[in-house]
Amino acid sequence: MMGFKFVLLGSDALLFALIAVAAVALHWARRQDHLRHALARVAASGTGMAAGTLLAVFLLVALVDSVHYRLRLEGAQDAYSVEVLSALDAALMPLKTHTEKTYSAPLATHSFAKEMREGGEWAYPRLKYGGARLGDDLAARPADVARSTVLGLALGGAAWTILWLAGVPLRRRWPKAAWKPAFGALLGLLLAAGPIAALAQGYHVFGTDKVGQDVLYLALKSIRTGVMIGTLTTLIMLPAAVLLGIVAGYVGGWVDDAIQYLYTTLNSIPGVLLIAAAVLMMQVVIDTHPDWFATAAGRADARLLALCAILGVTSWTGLCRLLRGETLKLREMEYVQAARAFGVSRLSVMLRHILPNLMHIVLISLVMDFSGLVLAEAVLSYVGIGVDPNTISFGTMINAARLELAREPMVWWSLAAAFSFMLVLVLAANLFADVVRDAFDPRAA
Amino acid sequence: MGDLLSVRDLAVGIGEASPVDGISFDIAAGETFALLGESGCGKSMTALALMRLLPNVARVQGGSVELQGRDLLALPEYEMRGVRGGGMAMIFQEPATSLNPVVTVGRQISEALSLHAENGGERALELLSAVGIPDPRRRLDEYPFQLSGGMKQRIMIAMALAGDPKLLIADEPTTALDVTIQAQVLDLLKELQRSRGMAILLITHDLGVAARMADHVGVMRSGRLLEVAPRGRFFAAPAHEYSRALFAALPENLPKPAAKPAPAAALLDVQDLTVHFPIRRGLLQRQAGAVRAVDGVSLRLAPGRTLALVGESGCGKTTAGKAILRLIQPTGGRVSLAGSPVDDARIERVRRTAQMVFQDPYGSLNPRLRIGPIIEEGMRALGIAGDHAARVGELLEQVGLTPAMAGRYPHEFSGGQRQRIAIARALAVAPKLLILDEPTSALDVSVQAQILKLLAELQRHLGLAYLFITHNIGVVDYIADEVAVMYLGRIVEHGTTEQVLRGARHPYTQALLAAVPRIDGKAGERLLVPGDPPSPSHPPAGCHFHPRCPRATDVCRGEYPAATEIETRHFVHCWHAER
Repeated sequence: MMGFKFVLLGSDALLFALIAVAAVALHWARRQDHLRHALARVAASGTGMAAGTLLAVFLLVALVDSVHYRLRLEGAQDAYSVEVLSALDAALMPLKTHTEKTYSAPLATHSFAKEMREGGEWAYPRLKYGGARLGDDLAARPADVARSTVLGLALGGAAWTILWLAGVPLRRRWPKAAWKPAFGALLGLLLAAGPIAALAQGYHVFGTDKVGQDVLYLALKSIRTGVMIGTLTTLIMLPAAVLLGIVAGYVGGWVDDAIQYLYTTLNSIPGVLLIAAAVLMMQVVIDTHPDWFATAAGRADARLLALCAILGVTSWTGLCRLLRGETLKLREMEYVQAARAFGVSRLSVMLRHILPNLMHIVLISLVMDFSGLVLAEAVLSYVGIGVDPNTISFGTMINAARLELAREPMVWWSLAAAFSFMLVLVLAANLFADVVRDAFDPRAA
Repeated sequence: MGDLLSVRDLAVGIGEASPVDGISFDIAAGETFALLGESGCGKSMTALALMRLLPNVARVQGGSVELQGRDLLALPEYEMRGVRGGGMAMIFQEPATSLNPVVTVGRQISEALSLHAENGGERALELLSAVGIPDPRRRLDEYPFQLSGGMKQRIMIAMALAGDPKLLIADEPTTALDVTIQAQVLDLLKELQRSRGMAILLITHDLGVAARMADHVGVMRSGRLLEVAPRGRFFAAPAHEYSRALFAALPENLPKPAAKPAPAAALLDVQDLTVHFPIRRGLLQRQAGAVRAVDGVSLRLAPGRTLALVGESGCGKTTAGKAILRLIQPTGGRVSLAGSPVDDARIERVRRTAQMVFQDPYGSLNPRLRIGPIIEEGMRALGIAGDHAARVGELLEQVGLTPAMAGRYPHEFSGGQRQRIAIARALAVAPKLLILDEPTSALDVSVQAQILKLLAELQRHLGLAYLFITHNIGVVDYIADEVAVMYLGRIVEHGTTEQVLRGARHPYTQALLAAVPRIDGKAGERLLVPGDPPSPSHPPAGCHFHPRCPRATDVCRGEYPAATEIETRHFVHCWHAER
């Protein structure tokens, strides 16, 4: 009997807390009359439901990937492996362990690079796992691929049918929601995922990277890093940007001067240098205190959190400036003057009259930042100051792929996989935020 | 066919709606046709359809437009470009946004002339002189921000004249301007029409402007022309029921409210109120001067009565109102309310005693809050006990709405309904004084009449005192007991409505009254003041009005006149008031 123990990394805890807060907020909002109407408008929007479904799937992958554990070492009573695995690793175990020697193209049976065989002959070596079930009958590959694809489509369709039937009570409970686009998006997703899953049993669907790791596995693991950077960073930056922006705009005077001075100064330091300095300092701290972390994953996670924090500290200025300007406009609105004529306190003017009228800006820039941050992570990883080199992320994937683009023939699959996963993630987030913004704007209703 | 423009069954559709629903009219050369209607009646859409400048969502669905016998709707777009500017030109309501702020006036006019810069400059100069701009050579090199509103509208007219149009379409050309400037611009349009034989299609909501300018009047509602008549007949005996309703809604035609209580002890007493906004310059932000927005204003208002504070934009009337409520910190003077002085320590009592209703019904209600919380806000902030929800329902009924509306958002209401909500919000804390800052100037005349009646009724029931800030003389005549006329931060004339409106002594008051377009079309003895009001940061020495005053003498240039009492409680600040 294999034992294991759960490991709660810092970022896991934050992500679960964030989900819990979002769930509580949603529950609260459903009991507020006007917010319920806004939510109903989101649910009634086809785009919103379709994008929301895709986002939910990404979030699910990130969540599954955030349940970490360590296996008990065989024969030991109280000793655990140093390797921290996640629930996603368990689900994808064959992908994780089936590593080849080096690059191989999607669905290939042979390696991408020639190798010297015994006898001094250069040839493409046979892959260890890719197409292994074909044996020596390489001519059967197209038929095998086709069979797997059909099987995958059938499986995807079946899974969708089951979900559709399982969704009956949901549809009965909220008949006005746009379920068709939601299930349509789900169908599309499952029809793509089915064949990929079926093919992944015998092949490397997206090929392998330099050290022979399956690219599909890397791409799936990258989702968590992207979601983490996108959400945790905004979480850190948002309170500062909103609070300082509104206070600067509404209170004015020396408070405004001080806040403006702060963000102007912060903005004039080259961002990459500031991040580099902070991340390197953090790295030094981590390296000099090896006793803080039981595992390499813990160390990598601390670096991820540090990166989120420093990205948050450097990226609040843009939103803050925007909100300050908008607040300067809003404070002259007559409804703010009317509130002042009643002697409403500054704090409640800011909370009741200014903040709600800024929420659409906050929401839009959140999503813009989300995609921007996922991209920033890629850039920073390239410079070597991003996530820990052991952390799988879109950034490290793209960075590794970048070097191989000049190769002839080109190694395109890592980049393509990272690109398409990021595109779907960011596009879904953008579309969803657009719908949310429209729905929460009473003037557009 | 003597008609310059002939429109037949013109219809414009936006989706299912038809903002213009089959209208026909003719304009003869050199004539002015006024298209009269309230907002949303389709009058601007008609003008845009004539120019073929409709927004993308709108489509001409039928009818014909003939300019000098050419069917404009059938012309290809490149020929239409020649018609615009050459055949007909258009000027818009808001001169501030019609000019490109980063291009000099001269270049903008040259662009309209589409000539080369050298002789374009000469033509531009001619045009600027034609529209009565003083020192046109200097103005050519100036940017729009250096010009006043009236000046900008003149520039717009000059640009419209660049192509020598046969027809000038003027879409509410003076709505954004002050009344004395409006009079100047209307006179200019008449003069240009006479000298150039140009026809004008004047789009307006103002019966007075139509009476002053038009040869023919067309009344429009819901996309239809209800009545077309020559001016004389229209103003003597309007045929359509809606036209008669428009006349009846004019403040001067409303039945006067019942007699008011006689002046008693003052509820509001303002002594020498000043608000100076510092102008700071340089690195150390040292004060280099001050905008004297309010410069020594004294007012008294008794319970249950209405004092109108009248003046043109920028004269400081709104600032004075806000300074009384301490929404703007006054820099000097004393204000007392119900016998006790207003200062920061007793600010809570002020908030309960005096409240404000703002001008823009679209900006004065928070779009994110529902009506209930909006009205409740004052009661909560001032800690007034009781059943707030019930009180909100009561207030909504009091202003002519239904309690069920408390759950709705502001965007679901019309401008007039929003203004009622704003009044209900102010009444929620049971004040004794309401400061009404142009409460009806953003509303159509029929809605304005309803709001004025509501205000009069509330005053009778609740014994409210009103400080009514406005530029609309007609409204003053209807609602006010006393009038104070403000010019450049100071009150120049103060008295009962009868004394000020019927026996004005200050030349500025006289000019203001004369500039109001009257629906009987009688210009009367016209006293047109030239120029624009000076800047309150550099008021002229002596009497502030002397640069524009026809009676100014040396004494006016030297010293500011003290108050002269003409009759009991009728004060005038003028050296020549006795005459």
